[in-house]
Amino acid sequence: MTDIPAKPPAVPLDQLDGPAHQLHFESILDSVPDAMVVTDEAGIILAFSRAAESLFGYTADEIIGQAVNRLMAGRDRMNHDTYIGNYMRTGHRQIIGKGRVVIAARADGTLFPVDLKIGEARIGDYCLFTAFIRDLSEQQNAERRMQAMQSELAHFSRLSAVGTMASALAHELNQPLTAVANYLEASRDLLDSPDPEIREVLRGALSEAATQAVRAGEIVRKLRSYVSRGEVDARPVRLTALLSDAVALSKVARERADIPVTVTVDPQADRVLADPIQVQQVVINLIRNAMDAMAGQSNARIDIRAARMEAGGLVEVEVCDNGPGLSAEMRDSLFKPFATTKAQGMGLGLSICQTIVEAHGGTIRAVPKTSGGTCFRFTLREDKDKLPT
Amino acid sequence: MLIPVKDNRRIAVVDDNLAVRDSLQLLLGVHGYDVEAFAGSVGLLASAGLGAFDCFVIDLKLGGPDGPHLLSSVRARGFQQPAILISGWEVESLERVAAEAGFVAHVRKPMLITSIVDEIRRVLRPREGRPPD
Repeated sequence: MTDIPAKPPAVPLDQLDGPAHQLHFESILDSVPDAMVVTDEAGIILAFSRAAESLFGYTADEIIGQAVNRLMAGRDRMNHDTYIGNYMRTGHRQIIGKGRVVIAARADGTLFPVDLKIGEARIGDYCLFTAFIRDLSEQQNAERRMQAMQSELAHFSRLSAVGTMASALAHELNQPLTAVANYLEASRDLLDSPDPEIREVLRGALSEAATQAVRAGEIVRKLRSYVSRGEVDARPVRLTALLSDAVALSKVARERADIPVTVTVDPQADRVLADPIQVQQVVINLIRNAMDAMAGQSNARIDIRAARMEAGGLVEVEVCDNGPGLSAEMRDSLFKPFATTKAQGMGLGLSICQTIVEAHGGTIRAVPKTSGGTCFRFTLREDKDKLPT
Repeated sequence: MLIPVKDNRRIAVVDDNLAVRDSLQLLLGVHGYDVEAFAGSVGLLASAGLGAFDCFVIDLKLGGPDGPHLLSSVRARGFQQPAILISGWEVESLERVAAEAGFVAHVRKPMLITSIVDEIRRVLRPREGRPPD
């Protein structure tokens, strides 16, 4: 037999009286390392831990008594009441006990990804929900974070992969383009020489320029095929949810995340056939372009509307800004690759948007707004079979 | 060299991309410069004729130490010829970094707007004002 060290007497947690319970609960709120938020079944915040205060930027005093969807973004913000209602009515667990990755909103409006776990406690007739929230944007081990992300945030990683790849490709692309420019400039200067040896150099320079131009084309094709692999996995989706998520994602890690963005979807237009990840990329791109166009503008706003078109079984989505508008020159080259007015831009965003929209059987165009600003409009096929509710 | 030499001044081109190197060599050669191309820092610094160049054209991103780093090494060895930075990346505060490292000009790839030849002409002093090697 081994010696078992004498244990200190266990705290009789089950026998704590009311005030002691309260003290114990407060000590948990102060010390629990994850942000912890307790709500009632109406989604009203009852308790807010110290870690939650620093994560969200609200003090417990100001947030307690408020609706919890204030801490959320995108479709989760809109649908939170429905989630709880469904659960209370049907017992169907959408998130309770499972945990998933969602986008949260700080007091200052910035958005960030979190890992959310919710537990429930029934006390008599009442139901309490306790949420544990871990900030994924701060997590050190990026790879583990990626693994932790569930399907809902797969587009997150995809988006950042596109961003990373785009900047790598921009550099790749600049190399052959530089060579083309150099070869052509040299050729122009050699053009007038009758010397057969120089003619030979000229011939060599021109064919080298052509080779490099083809190489640049291959790089672009790689990028385009990455975002649209030929076939589109179009399935019935709800436009309202897709657009709200896109709005939330477009604001992640953006300086101008405070620009108000409205989403108005005609109920007739809510059901479309789309690959949600790809169409979100289109919408995110259009929103970010609009944000960039309105940099430094104090009355900046973005309005997104979707409506069913008269004919053709199509739904039209428009993303409108009240920025300076497009010059005639810009309008002509808008969807051409490498046409950009941004110092840091590659000029591929709209070209990719066009590829995606056309792969969905739609079209995309830019329309000047009479009141100033620009509307980008694209079409999607409507889902004629309609979704079950 | 097949091209008639009009100027005879020597330019060192440092870029890790072969197509860029070859095309610059041709372009600058056509304009009468005597060009020697290097794939990276090591090549240039090992070159016996470092002091014989009239101008350096150096890419921002090189395998190994970057362009500004390379120019600092060149300057540390006492060589003060004008240097032009070429870059295909947009890096934050690049202009400042380039100026601090001692570049007198910066040309963005793909160089379609500012011709590298114009910049070289601008930074190279007239022959009589040529700095001592």
